[in-house]
Amino acid sequence: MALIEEFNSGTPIRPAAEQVTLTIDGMQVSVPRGTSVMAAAASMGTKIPRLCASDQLEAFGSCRLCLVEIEGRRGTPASCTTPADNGMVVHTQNERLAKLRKGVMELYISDHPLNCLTCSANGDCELQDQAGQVGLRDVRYGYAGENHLDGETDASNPYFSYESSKCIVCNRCVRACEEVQGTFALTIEGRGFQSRVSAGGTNFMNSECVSCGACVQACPTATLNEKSVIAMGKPEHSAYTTCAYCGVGCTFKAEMQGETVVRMVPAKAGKANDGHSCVKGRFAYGYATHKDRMTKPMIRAAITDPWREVSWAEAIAYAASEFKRIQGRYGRNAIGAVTSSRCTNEETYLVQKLVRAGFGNNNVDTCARVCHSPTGYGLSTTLGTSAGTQDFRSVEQCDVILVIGANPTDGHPVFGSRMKKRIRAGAKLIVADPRKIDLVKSPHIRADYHLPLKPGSNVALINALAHVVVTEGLVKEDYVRERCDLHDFEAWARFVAEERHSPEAQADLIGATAADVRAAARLYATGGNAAIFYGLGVTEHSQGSTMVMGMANLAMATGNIGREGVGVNPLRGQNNVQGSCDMGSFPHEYPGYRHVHDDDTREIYEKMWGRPLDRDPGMRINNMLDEAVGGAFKGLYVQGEDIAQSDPDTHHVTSGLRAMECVIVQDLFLNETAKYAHVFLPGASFLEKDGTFTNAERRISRVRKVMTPMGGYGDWEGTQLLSNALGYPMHYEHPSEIMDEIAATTPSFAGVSFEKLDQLGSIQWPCNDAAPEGTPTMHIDKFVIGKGKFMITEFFPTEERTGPRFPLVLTTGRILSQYNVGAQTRRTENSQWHEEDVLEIHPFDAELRGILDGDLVALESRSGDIAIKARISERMQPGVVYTTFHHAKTGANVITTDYSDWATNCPEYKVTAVQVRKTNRMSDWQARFYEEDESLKRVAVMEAAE
Amino acid sequence: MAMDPMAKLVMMANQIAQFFRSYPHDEAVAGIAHHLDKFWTPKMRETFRTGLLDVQDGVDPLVLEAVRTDTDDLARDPLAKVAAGTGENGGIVADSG
Repeated sequence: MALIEEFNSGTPIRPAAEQVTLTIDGMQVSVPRGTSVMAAAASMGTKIPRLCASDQLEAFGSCRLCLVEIEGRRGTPASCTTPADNGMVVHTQNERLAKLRKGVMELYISDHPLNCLTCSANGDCELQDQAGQVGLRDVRYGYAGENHLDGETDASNPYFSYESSKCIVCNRCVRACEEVQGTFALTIEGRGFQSRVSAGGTNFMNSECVSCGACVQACPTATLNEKSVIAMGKPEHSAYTTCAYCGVGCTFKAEMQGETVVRMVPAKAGKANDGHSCVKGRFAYGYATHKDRMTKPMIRAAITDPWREVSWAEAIAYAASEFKRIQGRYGRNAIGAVTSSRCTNEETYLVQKLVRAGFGNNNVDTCARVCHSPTGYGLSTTLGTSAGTQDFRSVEQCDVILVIGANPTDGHPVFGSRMKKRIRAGAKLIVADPRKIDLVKSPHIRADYHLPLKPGSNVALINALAHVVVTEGLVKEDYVRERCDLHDFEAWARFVAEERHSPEAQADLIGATAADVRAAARLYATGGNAAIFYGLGVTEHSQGSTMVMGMANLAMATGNIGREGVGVNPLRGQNNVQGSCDMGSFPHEYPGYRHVHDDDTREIYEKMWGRPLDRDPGMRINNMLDEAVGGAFKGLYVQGEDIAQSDPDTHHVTSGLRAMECVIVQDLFLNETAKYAHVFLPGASFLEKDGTFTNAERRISRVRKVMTPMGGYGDWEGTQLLSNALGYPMHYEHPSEIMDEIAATTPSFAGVSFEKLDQLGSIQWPCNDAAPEGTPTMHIDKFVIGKGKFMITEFFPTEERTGPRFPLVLTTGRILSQYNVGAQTRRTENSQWHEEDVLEIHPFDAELRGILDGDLVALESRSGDIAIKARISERMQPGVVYTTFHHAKTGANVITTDYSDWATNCPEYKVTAVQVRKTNRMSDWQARFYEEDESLKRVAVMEAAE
Repeated sequence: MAMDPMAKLVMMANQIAQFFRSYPHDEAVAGIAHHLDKFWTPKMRETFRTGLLDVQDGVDPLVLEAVRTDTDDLARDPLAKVAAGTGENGGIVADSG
């Protein structure tokens, strides 16, 4: 296997209606109008020397190395900034040009260290390459003149260093930060010879830098270089794979030395990320080989016993015998499983298959239960598919972007950068969020309208927006008449037109001014292509499903579904949360979202799997826990999830787990759930197995094995071993065979195979005979459901109410550097940015309680209490406090309640009534946490053999 | 904050009724009944039906009616798909929860 070298045309080549034809070095070439001469040459295989150009950046024209001669034109124009044109005759190589380029290189090299042999970029340095390409053999100016060779090195960032002595001030890093990432953290300080790259006058760690790595990738020298490369040297082979963090699903090149990752480089071939990355995917992969990895199977009879390391055979035999015993004693429905959105499609498919065919029930659920299950319910009800309508690239066609309950720059940073790029180019922005998230105001970004919602008022807002659309005659009537069910539309239109839904009537409840709500509605309805992007701020409410339907209603009424630049787009949290849902992880439906009631579908699987299947829906996670507390549910197989940390009302979750007789945890680490487990099976990271992930745009991408599983098996193999031991045989040799089975039984995946994925890079489902290469945009011409279905979305306030005892509302969320329960990112240097969860509180609420920034405070709800440090923040609105749940020791979910969405039981994480007061002690729960972190995680010391 | 199982089921059923109440009476009853049938386990439904023999206070009347009615005899469910067939791109009819 070789190192993958991606083509770089020097400047972007964009599609255009017109082609131009020119002659370069005697050969004719045709390119889209607007393409540079440099890129035109590159497209025919001619690499014009360059240093400041890269095709992820706009042309800059500063290095003067890419000069060419063009017949009929004076001088030697820079090929990067010269557009190709019809009839142009270009010469890229001749004596004059060679002399000019050599002269330019002499100047660069006269102020550059000549320690190439010991330089970290040796062999991977564009400056070195260009010196070779122009035939530089000596530097007439010598090295004694004024120079920057004593420039300082900034090693403050944990992942990369900035060696200013090696900087040629090509501006690529600065432009990458601006154009690709959109953070504007870097600049050029000084003028003329004094010009140097600067992180805003401070070091990288203290700057606005978000550590996305775009600057490192753009740097043509060793100036900005990964510390891993500095320590290890160059990688020698690489493989395309898919990031295991958020639902953007970025494609990376895993660059390797043997079985060791040297670095993860975002791939330009990745259609979800187009060569960009964030701090998590780019740098935070160290968890995969962290010392905390558990690589031996373990068992114990009781959770108070120490773990005992055993062979895979013994662990599997014990697990199977326990599950058989439990089913024998308590009945078929006494066991179940939880699939993982961090595992592959093939692995989640296998777990649900094990449950349905092996356990003989439908007790399988997944973590989408606690994040985007309302998306599935709401979108399938109104549009017909349980997924977003667009691809990410569609945002480039948006004229109006409506962000509701999402924080893309933190939660989905690579897509956030793409969105910001479009906003900088002129798209209008409406943000509906209780907090002033970065999109509300950040460099070169300002929301046209920020609707500072009161938590829990989403449905009132969407009804108010719809009221304006309907009562001001902004409905796209032709679209609705042709595409939607008119009976339902008319009922909905009458409903939202009622005066009680007007912005004026709802303003106090919503928390935004009526004028802003009206203006936002008008902008959304009339501003051109309008797209909704939303996150857990929509779904994690008692009316999460209602709100999803409300957004679909609004999009249909304004004709904003069924083409590029529009749509209703859930920003999925975990890397494979879409895929885990697609693969039948819910207790009521088979892969492809077909209900277990459906006789035809059940027959397909009964035939394929060779077992009779249950026609009744199984238990959701919360049902399993309730039944466990009640004594009827006794065994749970949890693959790659940590429900003891991530699920709401920790006391209830752990009570349920404690009541079970056999909990099997398959994971990378001894996580919080493993404290209550009896069998531990070592999990495999995304680097250790083959498979596929499906991202938020329904894009199925390959995960490729680049190292041997540390625990001996991929997760799919562990499931297979357990299934075989339980008496339900599985004999897959490779995950591709599992995908073949998925394709054979699931219409929307009918055309998917590993072979086709290798050919196309990725595929967006549905992929079948009607769409053999997949479906980037859904619902073109016709909704999957047939006619679009408007639903009536009455607003009801949550039962979780504030009052004198709990006067504040707590809402929870994520930040950029950490990921969900933190199991991965906490085991990386990302913790330097966020070493603990804090409680953000508005200055008014803090002052009222005598709380200063950094004070330890007690956060209390009806469910429990914790101690946490306060951070005073004007991002919050008075009356609302905010925290993250990345650190287990914080216990954020000790506070949250078990109120949930009416349709799906997705927990209401976003609204918990709380009180905050100063304290000087940790809570009882936290004290017990520290004690149990020792007592329930003990591993018995093995006696040495005689 | 563990809740009595019946109390929890009542709360869940009432939430479901709250959503469907916006529809005409017969459709609301059908919507509730179908939702319980599609998403609740047989044990949950049985526990609920049995529990209703003792406790009906606080239970939404629409829920009571939905539980008593045979799903085969119900009116149009507000969630019922209107048009037959699937879109050209689809090949699936989704019912995720």
